[in-house]
Amino acid sequence: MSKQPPLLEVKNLCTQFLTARGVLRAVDDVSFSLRHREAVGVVGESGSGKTVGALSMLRLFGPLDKVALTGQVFFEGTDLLQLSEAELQHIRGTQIAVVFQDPLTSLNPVMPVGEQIAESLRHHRRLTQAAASNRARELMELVGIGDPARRFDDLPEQFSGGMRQRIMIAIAIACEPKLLIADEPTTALDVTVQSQVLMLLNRLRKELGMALMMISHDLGVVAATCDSVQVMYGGRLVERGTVEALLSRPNHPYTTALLQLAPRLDGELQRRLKPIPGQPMAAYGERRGCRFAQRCEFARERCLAEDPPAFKIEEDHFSACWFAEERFASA
Amino acid sequence: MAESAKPKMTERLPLIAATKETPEPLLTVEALEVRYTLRENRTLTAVNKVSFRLYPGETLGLVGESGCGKSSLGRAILQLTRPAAGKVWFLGKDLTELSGAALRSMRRHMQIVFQDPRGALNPRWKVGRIVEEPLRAHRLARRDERRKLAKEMLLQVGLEESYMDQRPAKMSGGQQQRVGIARALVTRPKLVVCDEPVSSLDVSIQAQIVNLLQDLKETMEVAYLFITHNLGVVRSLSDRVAVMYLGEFVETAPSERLFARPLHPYTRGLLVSVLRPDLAARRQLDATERFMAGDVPSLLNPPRGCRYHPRCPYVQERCRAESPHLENADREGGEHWVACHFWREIPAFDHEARP
Amino acid sequence: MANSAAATGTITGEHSADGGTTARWRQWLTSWGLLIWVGYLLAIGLFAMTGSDLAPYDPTAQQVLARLLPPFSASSRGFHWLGTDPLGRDMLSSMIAGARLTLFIAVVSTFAGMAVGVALGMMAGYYGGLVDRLVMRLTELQTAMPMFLVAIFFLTVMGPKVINVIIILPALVWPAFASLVRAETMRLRNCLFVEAAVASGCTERSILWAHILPNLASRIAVLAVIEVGHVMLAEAGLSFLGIGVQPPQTTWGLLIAKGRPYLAVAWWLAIMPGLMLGLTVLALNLLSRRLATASGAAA
Repeated sequence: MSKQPPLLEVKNLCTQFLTARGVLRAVDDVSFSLRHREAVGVVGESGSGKTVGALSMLRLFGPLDKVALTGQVFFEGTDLLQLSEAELQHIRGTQIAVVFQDPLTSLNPVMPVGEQIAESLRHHRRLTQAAASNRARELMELVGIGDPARRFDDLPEQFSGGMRQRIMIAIAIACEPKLLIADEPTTALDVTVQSQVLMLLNRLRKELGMALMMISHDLGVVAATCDSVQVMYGGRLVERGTVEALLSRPNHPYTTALLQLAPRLDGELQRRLKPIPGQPMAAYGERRGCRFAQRCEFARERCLAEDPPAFKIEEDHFSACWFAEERFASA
Repeated sequence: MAESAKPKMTERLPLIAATKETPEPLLTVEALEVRYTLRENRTLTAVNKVSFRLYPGETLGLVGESGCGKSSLGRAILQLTRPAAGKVWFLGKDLTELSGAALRSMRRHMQIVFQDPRGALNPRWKVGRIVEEPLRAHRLARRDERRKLAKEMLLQVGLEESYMDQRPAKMSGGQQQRVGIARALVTRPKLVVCDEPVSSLDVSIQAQIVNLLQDLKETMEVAYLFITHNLGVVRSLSDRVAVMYLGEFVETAPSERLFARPLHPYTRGLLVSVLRPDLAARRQLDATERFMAGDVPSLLNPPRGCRYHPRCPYVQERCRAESPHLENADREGGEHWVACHFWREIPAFDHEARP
Repeated sequence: MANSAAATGTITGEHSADGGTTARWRQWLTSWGLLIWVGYLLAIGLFAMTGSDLAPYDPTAQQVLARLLPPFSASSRGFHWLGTDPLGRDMLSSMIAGARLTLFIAVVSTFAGMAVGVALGMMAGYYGGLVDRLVMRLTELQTAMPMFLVAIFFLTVMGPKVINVIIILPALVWPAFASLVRAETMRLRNCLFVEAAVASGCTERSILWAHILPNLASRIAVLAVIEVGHVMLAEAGLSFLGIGVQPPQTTWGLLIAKGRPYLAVAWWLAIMPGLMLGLTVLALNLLSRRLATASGAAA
């Protein structure tokens, strides 16, 4: 890889919400970087902070959220968290785009889909109505929606889930962003449609030279689309590495547990699965020690008392576990 | 009650027999049809003449994607939606003929676990009352006894006694689903329809609930109709698996058989589409291309002939014209039914899915 | 995530454990403005229950020498906060005495209307079909009629007795209850836990009683509070017209009627009961609105 500065550099990102139950540390001191054209998978369950982390980078919060956001998010050298709303709005959509999980609620139900794609072009690129509509049709073709001329005027409800997700992708790539954030884009879709959408994302990434941040709970999806993986738990980054490293030499107990969870379709039959005891908990209030300690079968006293830092176990492979090196050595 | 007539058997109904030696089926579904009327008097046939048998203590996994009709089938069997045609023989009675108190009394033996654990529990009720409700409805015990049975049931699903007085809103999804399971099993039913019971839960919790269902199946000798789109989970839990597409069964087989030797192209497509968390995933993804061109067609306008033919990589002329029936593909006398004209000719399934 | 964001306005999709109820009730109870009104209503309620016992003077005691005294005047009997009427009876005492019947009629009529409306609404909402259409026609029919005129007609024909007033007034309010309950029942009927109850083998009746009705209770209560106010005004109107309550019984409406001829010379005779009536209805409205937010009926 060239020594180009990273496209995205996140330093000590902390997102806290003030809720009825107290302070929720949704993202707790997360740091990572992303190179141009790199695809990173962000894996975790509910409460891991994977979605909030991505949305925090763009300050995409709900109107009723009471948020405290600290840290730095350098995108091509500029700290996004220091920008004004107007400047940030310009970056959203043109430089960084987001595809959400549920296309049904993300699309305007009363506006023709072609319009929704063109809207972004008119607003950000200042294209005329005609030019924007033409480009929108081209984009629909690009994402695999047959007969774009006719379907331009259709409403979202006239499309299937997979098609709607393609429309979302078309809107997202309309201004050719440098980074595409996909938040569980295929979770709500059937598995056969999922393949198509993922293949589309892979193809577009190559053609447009985009970086991708794929947020998912499914390691299979991440393995098929990404170059590197970040595993999150309780708002913290617990392991980070290339897909190859993480899948062949998973280090953090949570990562290994996740990999063992998925029942396999071939090979030996498992009548009993290997669950992780307890439930994923969101981090309310102060908490000492490793977030995963209570569910970890290898936990010791130290784990409950002290927060483990990220240990480097090999090139481009970090694990936040007190026993990271031991585990790596014995693997 | 007069002895119910034996279920009528015709040549055209695909009958799936037992993998065990038990003679009497617990549940026999015959040519079941479920239809919904939409606006402008259009009808949608969600389930199109499905037949099968389920034996006591057996788990039949029902897999398919959205719109295939599996949930409708589950609900229609329990008469939560009334089928438009067909028969459902359960414990010697035809449920489609029953209503009112007669049907209600059968419900004691057949229960359901829903996909949405939160929605399935009345938010104002305490857990104890929720679990006791079926006992009350069927007048199975007096108040103290009911409470005791409910407590025992909660313990069996892994919840402590203290949960009896809690409200569901404070509980996690996994815990709520345990309550749902406790409620379903408290009357010791013979059949439980599990309608996507783990789909809305986190993956680590899914495994817990699947194990729980497995344990309960053994201790309580209950048969499950396990409806899901998650193939991995189905493999662990089921004795037999039925694959559904656009309202029809396309393949059924003992679980291990289906995964080792899937015959129907749709089944293969499904298996190939489940991405494995390993280094072959990207190759696997590329391989799926040939299997699933296009989207799932709408049930309003199912394709003529074989319903799968527009997406099938092996499609021939005959497939466009003629709808295939389920036939037994097992030469050794076992039970592996597939609805495909060319299952013999299609090359064997390659698990590595090399293109 | 997107779904919960839309619903709760937050991306965390926070559901607080009890739906925020405790927090809301606490907020509600510590609001000073509301406490004043609640206090006022409690006082009125107290008056209604104890009748003339709490009144400073006997409302029927005439003292002709002290007639038509304005508010805040003294007489040989004592201090008259709200003045006296043409026969020297203390106004405050009359109003306190009047509270009893006013409230009685309003509350009983509202309850009767509520009972009918809730029953019809639940049946219409749960069973649908013919029952629903029937109930809808009935409500529409009644909404189209000028109920107040019907009430006048009824009372003229049947005679202006308290019992007749209580018979006809519920007719004013039952459609509101029926509509609300019908809509809510239809929504609840589709809830998964109701389907779960059906699957468990519960009878329809037990589902209506145990699942549907409790979830309706807070909404019904909110509506009931407001309707008491409406009924109170309607009764006042009827009594004012002379076909409602007749003397020697008193309600506020009647007091207003009796004070009307004297508006030019002794304004307090009509205005004071009118004020009390208005304040009570206002208090009920405010309470109802606060109840709605506190019980999360809006959520």
